[in-house]
Amino acid sequence: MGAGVLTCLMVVVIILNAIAAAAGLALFAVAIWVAVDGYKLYPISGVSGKDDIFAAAWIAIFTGFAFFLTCIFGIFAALKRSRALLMAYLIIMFIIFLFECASAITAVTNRDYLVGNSNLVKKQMLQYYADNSTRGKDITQTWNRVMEQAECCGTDGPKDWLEYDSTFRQKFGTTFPWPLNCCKRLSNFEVEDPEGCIVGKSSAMFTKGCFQYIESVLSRYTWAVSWYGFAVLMFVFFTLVIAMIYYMQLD
Amino acid sequence: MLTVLFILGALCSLNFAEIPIKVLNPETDGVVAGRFPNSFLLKLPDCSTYGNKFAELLYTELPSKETNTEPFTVPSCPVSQPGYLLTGLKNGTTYNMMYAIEKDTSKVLTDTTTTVIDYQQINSGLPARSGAMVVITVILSLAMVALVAGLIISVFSM
Repeated sequence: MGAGVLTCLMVVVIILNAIAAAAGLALFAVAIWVAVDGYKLYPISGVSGKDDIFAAAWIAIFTGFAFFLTCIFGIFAALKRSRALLMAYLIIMFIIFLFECASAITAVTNRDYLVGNSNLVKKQMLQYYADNSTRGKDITQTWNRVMEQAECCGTDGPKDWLEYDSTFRQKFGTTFPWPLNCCKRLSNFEVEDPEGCIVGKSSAMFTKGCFQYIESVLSRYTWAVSWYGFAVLMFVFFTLVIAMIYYMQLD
Repeated sequence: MLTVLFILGALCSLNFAEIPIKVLNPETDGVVAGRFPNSFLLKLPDCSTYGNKFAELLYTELPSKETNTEPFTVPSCPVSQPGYLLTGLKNGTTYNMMYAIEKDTSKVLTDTTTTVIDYQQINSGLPARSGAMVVITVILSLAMVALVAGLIISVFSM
């Protein structure tokens, strides 16, 4: 094949690899953001045993950085016009591609398990809120924080506490129909209207459910790992196809 | 004596003023619920007519016909609480309730407390798969297969 076309292919491979390296580094950063869990919702997935959104984020941290390093190696291999180096590059990229595929698919499937509907989150809340075990403490702390920050009560609403039996009802059901974190508070953290809240006065407590907030946060994590991972993978796929064509034209 | 009061309340309502009684409705009365598993939230007697007066809420559990009285003071205007909370009841049981203040009584209100469902009954299995999951899985699987094919072709085209 003409030397001019070969040089053109080499330039294309180098540019695509440079962009893929940048995309890989961005994937690394986004996956670190998910793994750090700034919204502190990990116990909801951890206690249920379905914490693969975070496992997928950890895999994406490694694959993102690996893409970055391998694409730089690919630039070097393309410049050297070496068949052996390019084959090594192709095989390593393929292995990283497989791992990143696993990460993207795992994250989006686990999101469906956790927040496809409100049942799992509701059952977990009823079972573990106010429970004395380690899991119970994690869930109680997480829910208390969510109820305060998102100004909500229960999963679909305060009626969850009335319609279902729960650990909380077993312990405090005679005094409190729902946790005190469901009550509106003043800026100094005191409950605004304790009697109104216990009786169920709508103006003294939060009446919307927390599921929408929890679902939006976990979906945000999932889209960061799976959709962005998917975008990077499609770009890398395209880069690898061009690299394979370049490899076949080398002698 | 209480049964006599009940009969009086039913028959002699024309001679005495009738106190309105009802279970509060979540849609109209600004509360989360009126019927609880162990209590009822009832509309208080009017604060301007009966404010600060000594009142009694008589309630009978059906079918055991066990009767109880809850004495309380009607709050004066302006009233901060949304209603009177009658507690200590049993799940899923029907009760007859009425107010009695001095000579006035209310109609007999019959209502049932709610039942609680055990949380273990909630089905937390996988709900339907989302479109995103199907798209990502299918397209990535095809991409992986294409890459394997491409690698094999490039290795064996030497």
